[in-house]
Amino acid sequence: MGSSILDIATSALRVTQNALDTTAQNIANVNTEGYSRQRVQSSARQPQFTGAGFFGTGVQTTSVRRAYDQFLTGQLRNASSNFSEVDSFQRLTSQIDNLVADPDAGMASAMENFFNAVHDVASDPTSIPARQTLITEGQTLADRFNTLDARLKNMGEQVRQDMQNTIGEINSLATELANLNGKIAYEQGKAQGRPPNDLLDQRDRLVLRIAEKIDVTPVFQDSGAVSVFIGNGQQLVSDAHANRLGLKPGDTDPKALEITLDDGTSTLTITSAVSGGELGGLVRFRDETLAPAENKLGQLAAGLAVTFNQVHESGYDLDGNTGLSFFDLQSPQIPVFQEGTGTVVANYDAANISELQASDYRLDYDGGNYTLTRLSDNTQTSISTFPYIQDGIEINVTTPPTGSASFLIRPTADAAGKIGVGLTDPRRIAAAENDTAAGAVGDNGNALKLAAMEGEQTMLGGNATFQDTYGRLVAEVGSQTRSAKISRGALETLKQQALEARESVSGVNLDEEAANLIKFQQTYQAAAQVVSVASQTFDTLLNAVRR
Amino acid sequence: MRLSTFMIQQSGVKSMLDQQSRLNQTQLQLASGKRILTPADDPIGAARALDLREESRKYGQYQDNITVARSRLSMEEATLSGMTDILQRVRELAVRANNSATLKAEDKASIAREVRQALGELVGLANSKNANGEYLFSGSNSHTQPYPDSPTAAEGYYKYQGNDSTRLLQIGPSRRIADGDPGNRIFESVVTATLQPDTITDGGATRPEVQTIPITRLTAGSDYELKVGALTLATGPLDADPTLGEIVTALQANPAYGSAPFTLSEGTGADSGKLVITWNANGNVTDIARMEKRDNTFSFIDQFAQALEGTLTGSVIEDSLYALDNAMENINATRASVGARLNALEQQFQLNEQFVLEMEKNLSGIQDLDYTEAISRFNLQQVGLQAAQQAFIKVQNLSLFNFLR
Repeated sequence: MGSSILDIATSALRVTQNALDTTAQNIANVNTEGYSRQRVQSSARQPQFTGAGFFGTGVQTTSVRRAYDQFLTGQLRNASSNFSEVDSFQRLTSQIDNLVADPDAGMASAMENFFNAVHDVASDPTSIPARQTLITEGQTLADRFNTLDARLKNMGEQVRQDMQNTIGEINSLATELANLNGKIAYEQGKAQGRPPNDLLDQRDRLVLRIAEKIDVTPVFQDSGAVSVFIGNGQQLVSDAHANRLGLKPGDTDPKALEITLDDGTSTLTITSAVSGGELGGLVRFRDETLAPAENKLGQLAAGLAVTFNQVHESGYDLDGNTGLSFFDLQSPQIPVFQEGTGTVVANYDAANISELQASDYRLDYDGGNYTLTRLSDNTQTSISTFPYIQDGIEINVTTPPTGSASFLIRPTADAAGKIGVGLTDPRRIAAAENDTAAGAVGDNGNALKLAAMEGEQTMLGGNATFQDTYGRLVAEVGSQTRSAKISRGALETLKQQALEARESVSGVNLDEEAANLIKFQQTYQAAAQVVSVASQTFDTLLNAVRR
Repeated sequence: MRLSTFMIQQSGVKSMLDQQSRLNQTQLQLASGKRILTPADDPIGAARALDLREESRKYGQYQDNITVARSRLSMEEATLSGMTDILQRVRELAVRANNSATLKAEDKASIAREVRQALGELVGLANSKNANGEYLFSGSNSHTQPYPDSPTAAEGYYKYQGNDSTRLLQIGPSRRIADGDPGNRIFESVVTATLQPDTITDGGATRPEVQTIPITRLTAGSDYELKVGALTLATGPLDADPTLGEIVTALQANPAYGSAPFTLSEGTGADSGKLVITWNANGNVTDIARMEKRDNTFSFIDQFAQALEGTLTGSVIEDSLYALDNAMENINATRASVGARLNALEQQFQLNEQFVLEMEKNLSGIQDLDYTEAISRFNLQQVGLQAAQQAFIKVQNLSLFNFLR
């Protein structure tokens, strides 16, 4: 009997110590991200039967559990993934937004100054300073196109770099998770199914961090390990094995990187399946904002250059020569990338330049037929005769390919980077409408036509002026940024709410821990008191016997 | 709801950050005076603002063009006004030359000297240049002197070297105006004499009618225009004192001559020195032929001086008043047109200015900041941030551990 009270008291001391340890662990991890508070679970020990009935034998620690809700954790993971996507999208888009509207870098003021200079030549066709100013303003305009294009291309480079880094991080996180999976399965087996709480927290934290980079679907197994799927069902992590993501140059355009998944036996291209997370945001920005902005800027540059040249070439310069090209778009005007043999040449078609679209085109040859696909909306046209004219460009096959081939034609992607001023001699500006050979140098007919072009709707199928075209680009980038900002705000709130919900279950509250500390301290003191009483009782008995 | 310590701290920090970013946005707006900082703040407004700025800039350019046109037209007006004054003086001299029947040779010579002086001044003014070094009156051949300083040897008169074109300047979205007039429209084709038939031979019912016009003055640069009813045949300025034969050939070279109801020939014998007009058909001819001699102002004054100096015969002195009046009338017509254009420029300037003002107002409405609203918003946000900071400090001090001692 006497040993029983001591036994019960000691078991209480042991369990309470466990509880105090756990409370200390909770307090220690109050600032650890992803930590779930732990609780000691205890139960009364097996009772002892006597003739009088069952007597309790004390308390035992059954397990240590973490406060955890799988649904809330999943919600947080989804919210984080969505937020990271729109966050990186918004961060990049607002850079373009600032760029296009910046009065020092944007196109609007350069176009204004350029056409002002044209007007000044119209007012003073024989003035060499006015003509020189026009050339200089033309160069400034071309420069502005070049700079803006270079900044956009730079951002493309930044996006490629970011994609590379993100994929590197995903790969190292996946490897870490695969290792952890192995460890958890081993530890949980060793503990006969009792959960290795801190490892599980680490596991959830890793899945969350992968989800911030790319949208994932985790599948939890009884062993405690987790399998992670990305895209539309490609396996990134299975148990203790991790597959690797990679980047490879695009088939036709080497600068357009594709995302690949290598599972050890084959390499899949999964770019179109990637969504969510930072990587999803980067891909979305590249395809939905950056490429269209580059194309629209190029559309404006090419449209302006070709239209302006057309009028300029119809006039006469100060010395009675017919006008040359004012703007220079370099040769070949339109870059063509190819896979397979053959030669395709593409040029702008001045007569239909207003039809020019901000899009890339792909010309496919299957060995017998040519098919042209406009990539912005995937419109397909079969072509039988060349040269073929569509959307303000003229495509010609100068050497037919042998066997199937594919050509990527990019009329607008690089135009803003290539535009320059072809004239250097101010006397070469064709301000006159009629031949100036007879001395009619004061003729300003052509300059008037050139100046009037700024108000003419020569772009977007004859529906917009140059300035309108740029205005549309600004408005489009602006509304994309705006909607990204709004959804970023909304998703941030969702993420915050998901975090709050998870924290309300799993988070450590110091006041609560302080209260527990007091509670367990008191329990410990009480149990210690019982030991003391047991000792005194025992002493009483000993003293009685000694007498 | 149960709150974790992390969450309490984090949401406090977050609310402070939010307040800070709102305050920062307002601060940027206040510093720039703009409501729209980037297109994302108001995409439609930003695009409209671009449009309006461009539009108002375009009107600014029209105003610049108006200033240029105004200065050029004012200069033209001043030059023409100077020429009118000089022509007036020449006319006074012509009156003197005509009135005194008994003018001595030396008097005529002194008048001639004055006339030559005036002619030099007139040609000088006709060859005026604008600030850019372009000749005012040579059309678009603006680097070519419109009139030689003295009659050229080959042509023998002040031959116009410019062309017949005007330069238009854009002064409104759909309005262009000429910034000058070519000299040929101002100084050329002045009617200096009208020659009538001296004999009209009525053909009666059987013979064709014949009219003869004596051509007394054959001078270089003159344009002879034969007018019969609605029909006009012109020679165009003929170089180097033409002969009557040359005039007849030039008149016959006119395309309209082919369908004319008469033939032209150079008179012989008694009709020597006369233009003979012979109708093809028999019958009653009601049209009386008339020959206009036209010269440019400078060539005529040169002829006038020559007549005073006695080197040119004919009725130049008698015709001079009529000719000078016509010359002045030509110039005055141009001056009236210049005046009308200056008026039009003024009106267009006002119109453009009003338009710019209207657009600036719209632009300001779209992009400019309402300071009253922004400042009160700024104050409110400032108070909000301070409150968030104080609340954070207070909440952070609340902990049960403070009481565990």
